[in-house]
Amino acid sequence: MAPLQDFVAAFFVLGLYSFIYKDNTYYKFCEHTFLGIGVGITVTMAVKNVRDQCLVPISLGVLILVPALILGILMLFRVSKNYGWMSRYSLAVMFATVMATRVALTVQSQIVGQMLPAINAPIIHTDLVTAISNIFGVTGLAAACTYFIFARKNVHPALKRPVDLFSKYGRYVVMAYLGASYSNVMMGRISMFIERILFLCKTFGIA
Amino acid sequence: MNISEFWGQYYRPVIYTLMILVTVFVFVNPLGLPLTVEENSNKFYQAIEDLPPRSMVVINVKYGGGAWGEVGSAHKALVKHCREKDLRMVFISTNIEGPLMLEKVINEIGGHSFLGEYGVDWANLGYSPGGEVALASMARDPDGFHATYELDYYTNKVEELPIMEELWDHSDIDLAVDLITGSMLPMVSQWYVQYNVPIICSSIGANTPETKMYYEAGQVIGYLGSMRGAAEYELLTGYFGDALGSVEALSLTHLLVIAFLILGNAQEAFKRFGGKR
Repeated sequence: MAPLQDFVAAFFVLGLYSFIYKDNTYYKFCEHTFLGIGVGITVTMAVKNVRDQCLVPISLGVLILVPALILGILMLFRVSKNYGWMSRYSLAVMFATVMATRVALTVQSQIVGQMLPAINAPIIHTDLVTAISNIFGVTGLAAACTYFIFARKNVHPALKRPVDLFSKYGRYVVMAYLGASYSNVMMGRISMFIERILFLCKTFGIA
Repeated sequence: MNISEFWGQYYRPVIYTLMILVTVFVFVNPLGLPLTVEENSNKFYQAIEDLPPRSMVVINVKYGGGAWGEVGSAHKALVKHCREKDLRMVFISTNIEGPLMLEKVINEIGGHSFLGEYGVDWANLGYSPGGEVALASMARDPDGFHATYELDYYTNKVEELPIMEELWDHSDIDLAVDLITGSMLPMVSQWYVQYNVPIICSSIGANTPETKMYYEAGQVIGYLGSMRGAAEYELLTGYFGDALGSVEALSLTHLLVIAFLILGNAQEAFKRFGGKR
């Protein structure tokens, strides 16, 4: 037999799925309970993190964390109408740190790292499938880039037609990516749904 | 009320009811549909198989309760696989819900003792705020992990854990695993691009195309995409769990969605062209 907490969870899962039929009190109760618990967990974890990762280490003598604690306290001033400006110092440090950490490496990982394999993909290959795949990859990349060249209207009249056609191919490539991306999102959502149905089946001894 | 009006008013309960019926039917009567293992899942599996015993695996638990259905099964199979191979595991998290998910996984696979001796065979360092900045901080030499974490999730001093005497920075990581709901860009940027740390990943469906991008570029060794990828990994490892049990339902519900797409388009075509005649 499933433990009691599983039945409690099943009660809330059924309540949330009751929205499928229409909005109702049972659904609202479950939704509000979920929100309350969610906020409770987040606040508890946040307090635990501040304690474990800042207050306790400072008490152990890791004084380098004191400026971070002060900046963190300044963030709380956002709720004040008169002293809200103080939180900008914390935000400025945060933005600067994140930008400094990310920018250079993101260019490497997302642009250079992605471009090199595409440029080096051999379009003449012993494996026909790989060759076709690489041809689509390389031409698709070029076409999708062309689609985003907004100055293409100004090209020489003789080139206008080919460039437009290539750009149209690029649009199809982008649409294909969006379609693949959306279908993956759908698979993810259905996976969540199936997992909950499996949970209900297990809880009530159906599967 | 004709069919069109009924559909317009009750399409949501009808679709859900049919999906529930199909799903429950498959759970009660498994069909035994074949499951092929994709190359990316195989490489994910092989990356762990190729590690010698006592290798150091750092697992970033970066998903929350909403992704349990997609990543949870892979997470459970991964921990069992690492344990069977006698690999040392250090769990970190850049998602505030991550440590809770890890506790759920540990409870479901047999409790803390299943993972071996705490502090020697495994450690849970808990959540570190900052996302990408936290990952950058951990990998930095000479003592990134120790500088980032003073205490572990259970409030033990990190410097007193024997396993952490052999995990100081990126050079001590034999394999990094990213279990994610968001982008895996932070780990690729900070650990692969910067230090060439080998990475594998299990992501939710919404992020799978992006993960594939890193995989095709060689920045990620292998990945598992959503529940389907988790099912393939369960098949490879032999740890039959929820993903493998659910993959048939996944196939049939997708067929149902395709059928609804065709019906919806047929109805629209009928409205547009049928009425003119």
